[in-house]
Amino acid sequence: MAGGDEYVIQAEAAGRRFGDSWAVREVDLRVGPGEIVGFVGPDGAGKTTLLQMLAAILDPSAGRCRVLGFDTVRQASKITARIGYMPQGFTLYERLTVVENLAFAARVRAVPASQFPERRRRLLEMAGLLPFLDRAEGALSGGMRKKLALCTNLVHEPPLLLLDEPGLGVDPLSRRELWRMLEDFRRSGATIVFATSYMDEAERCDRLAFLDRGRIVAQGTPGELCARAEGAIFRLQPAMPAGVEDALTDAPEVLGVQWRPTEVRVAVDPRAGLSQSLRRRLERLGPVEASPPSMEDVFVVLRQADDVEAPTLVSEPAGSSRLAPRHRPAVGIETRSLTRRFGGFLAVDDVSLRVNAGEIFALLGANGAGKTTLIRLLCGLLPASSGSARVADVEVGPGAGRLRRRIGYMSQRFSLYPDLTVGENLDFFASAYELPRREARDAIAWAVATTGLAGTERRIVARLSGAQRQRLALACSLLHRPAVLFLDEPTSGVDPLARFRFWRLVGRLSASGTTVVVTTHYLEEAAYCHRLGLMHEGRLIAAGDLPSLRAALPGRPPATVEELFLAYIERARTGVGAAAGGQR
Amino acid sequence: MPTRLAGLVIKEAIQFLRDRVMLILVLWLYTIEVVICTLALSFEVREMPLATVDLDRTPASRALVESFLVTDAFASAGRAASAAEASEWLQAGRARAALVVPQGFQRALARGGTPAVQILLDGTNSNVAAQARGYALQIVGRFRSSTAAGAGSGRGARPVVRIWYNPDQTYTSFMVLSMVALAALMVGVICPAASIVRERETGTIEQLRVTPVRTGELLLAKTLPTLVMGLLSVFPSLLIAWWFGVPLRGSLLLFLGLTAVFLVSAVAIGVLIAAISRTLQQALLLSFFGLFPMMFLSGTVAPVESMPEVLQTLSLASPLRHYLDITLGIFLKGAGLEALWPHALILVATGVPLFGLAIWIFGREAR
Repeated sequence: MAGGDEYVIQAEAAGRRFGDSWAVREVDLRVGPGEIVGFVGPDGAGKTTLLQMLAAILDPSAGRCRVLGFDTVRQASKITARIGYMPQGFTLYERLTVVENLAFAARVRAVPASQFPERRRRLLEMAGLLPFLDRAEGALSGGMRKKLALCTNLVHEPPLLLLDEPGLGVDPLSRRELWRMLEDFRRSGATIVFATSYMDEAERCDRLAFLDRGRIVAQGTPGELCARAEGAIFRLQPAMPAGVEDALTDAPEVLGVQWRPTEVRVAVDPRAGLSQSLRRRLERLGPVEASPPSMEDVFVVLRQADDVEAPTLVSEPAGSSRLAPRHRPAVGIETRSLTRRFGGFLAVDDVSLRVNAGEIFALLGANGAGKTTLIRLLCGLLPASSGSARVADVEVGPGAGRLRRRIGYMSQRFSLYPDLTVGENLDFFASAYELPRREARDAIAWAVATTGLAGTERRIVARLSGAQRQRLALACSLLHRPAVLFLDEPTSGVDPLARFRFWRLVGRLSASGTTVVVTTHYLEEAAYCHRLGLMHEGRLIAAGDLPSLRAALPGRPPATVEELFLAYIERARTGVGAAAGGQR
Repeated sequence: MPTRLAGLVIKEAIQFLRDRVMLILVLWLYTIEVVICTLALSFEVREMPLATVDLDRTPASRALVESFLVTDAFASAGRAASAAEASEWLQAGRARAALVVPQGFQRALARGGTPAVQILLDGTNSNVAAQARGYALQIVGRFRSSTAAGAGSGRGARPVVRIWYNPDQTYTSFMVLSMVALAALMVGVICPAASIVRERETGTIEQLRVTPVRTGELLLAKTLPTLVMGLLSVFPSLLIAWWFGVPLRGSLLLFLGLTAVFLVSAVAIGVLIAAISRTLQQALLLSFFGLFPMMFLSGTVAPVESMPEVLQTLSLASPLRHYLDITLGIFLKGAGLEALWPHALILVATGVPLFGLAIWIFGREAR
């Protein structure tokens, strides 16, 4: 380290402005060698911007940052040559092979040619990529791509690694392996700073910085942060969930409500506590008890209460018949031996499945297991190679205009028009679904209120945060009140509170009769769903509700969904023999 | 208009108007680009350095040399001692043309013969060379007629009057109009192609496919903003044309109408390109692959008449050639629909199948 700094990172009153708005403000941060520090906070809090400033990619508009003893403005090239920085998403060269990508990274980082073969072997072995040396990066599964990206950032053995949402869009198994690689790397004495929306990742940190609206509002160990929410969290298990929102109106001390699968958690201002009147109102719904805070609770308590972007109460205009689908099908989805081939590759293999009307059905599986392809088949976006499917009482096939009016689809990419405003996107999708003008106006007003987008109508979509885009994509797919809603990784990269809110809305849609098919990599979200389907290499290896899936496994039932998921995949692997391991 | 189509058209219009860079580029293509290209691509021969080799050294030979040098087309690059030296000058670039008057020139003239003079031209730029050759022949022709009319001694040979120098500016007019036509082609092809491929890249085209929106409706909506913009852009171009002194002898309304027909056929090419490209990069490359042959075959750069037979036939398939004929016809000849309808018909006949093909390819993606 140059200049004998004792800190790897030292930011002093650092800020960054884009136009008139400050993405990062007055950040003071010190990170010592060997520390692992996590940035958490609501979407749009400035985590990515701060990481880019530390990576010397963005110059601070105010204050200064020193990284590895170098100034991020004047000595940026010294920093970028030394650190590893892994941005969000997939950023390698799709058409280069695994080896070529790694060799390129090594060359630009000036790794000595004599050391490269050894490092290459070690890294790719650690990542489990040795069998795929000559495969194009674009043909790897999401998990493998992320691991390869990590390898390219470790090849020059950087003293500091900056990671932006490393686990985003990666299946649980790959995420576990990614973290194993990071732990190994950390043992060499390196420093890791990363942004995350996974609370289990946050809990691995030595220290957390909680960002909100560009500021670090709290710093400390995970335990210290949790202590900030001590005495603020109350849990209740209401018999009638619908009553909760009513009971919480006019309660200024309430900071937020989280709809967990089996309980509702109410966070109040820790200084004020739970008022007697509110306690009485809540107790009418069921027993209320104080609860030790979790990392998610910290979110509710630390974020600023007047945040318009994330109203924690689901506000709902009267007459929630809007939630009910226009058409009530007898059966949500029914498929018979549905199969889709891409060349010799079976993306969806003989899937027979039934989803009842009004059910929330989760498709779980590793990256590349066939979940997205299955959804695309069911939406009529891809023709089946063989087999058949009925969705909302319509046979899926060519010219199924009727099907399109009965389904809603939200793709992984939150497909919206980035150059249009929120309002213009909604208007457009309302017209695409041929809603008459008055109905369109009502539907848009309702969707905007329900998804918490009120006040953003005139903003350009390209400038929204990921979570806002997610809500807008959902709003656009709900306007025509579909009978079956397909949600492909709807909560990817969205902060925990937004996820809870999202699931509350999905729950209400389902209660009103909408069938929902959803994929997710946050396995704890499976608990919100009525039934689960586990996919592995194109096949549906198990389907059922959580208790029956647990019971069907021999031996001691797995405690978490993740263990359950891994147990089924293990069983499928051994069941089809050793051959299945190597093929894609 | 049905709700869906109206929604699509409104969306396209907003997106088109919001993209400032695109708007400025379109305007640029129709105005400044036209000016630059007209000025730069004029193959006018002006002050071309001419080496003179006078082996006769008589009044007649001097008069001939003089008649070359008094024109705007040629300027003296000096006297060379021999044809060999002149050709060295040509090699070295000191001269771009050489005039060799043979010994006995005056004597042959006096005998009423037709003595040959040699003209050497630097053919590196064949267009310029051809132009210079034309001038040279004219000069010699005039010289011959003037000497024939005179006493034959060449004594009375006055220096030839200023050369006929593009008197009605046909070349400039041609250049301005073909650049406007080229702008229409580029805008017509690239705008819709880029906007469709952008939808593919953001994934919205897939989102549309789960709505009742039909492919044909989407493509129709993609056509309209380009059409409107293309027609409006004609007006600043008219100003440019007026500034260059290009006459408008025919009907403006007819010109606008046929421009619309041409734009639709250009949009059809753009839509087809979008149907087979996956990324913006591919679409742009493909557009250029298409645009260049269309441009070269249209007669904008080189006259169609000077192309090999096969290419002349092939040029009939270039929409730009027909539009160029329409544009030149209306502006310079004052032609009406009765003369231009075959061109319009061919534009429609090429555009419609391309559109059909594009719709078919888009439709196949879902299969």
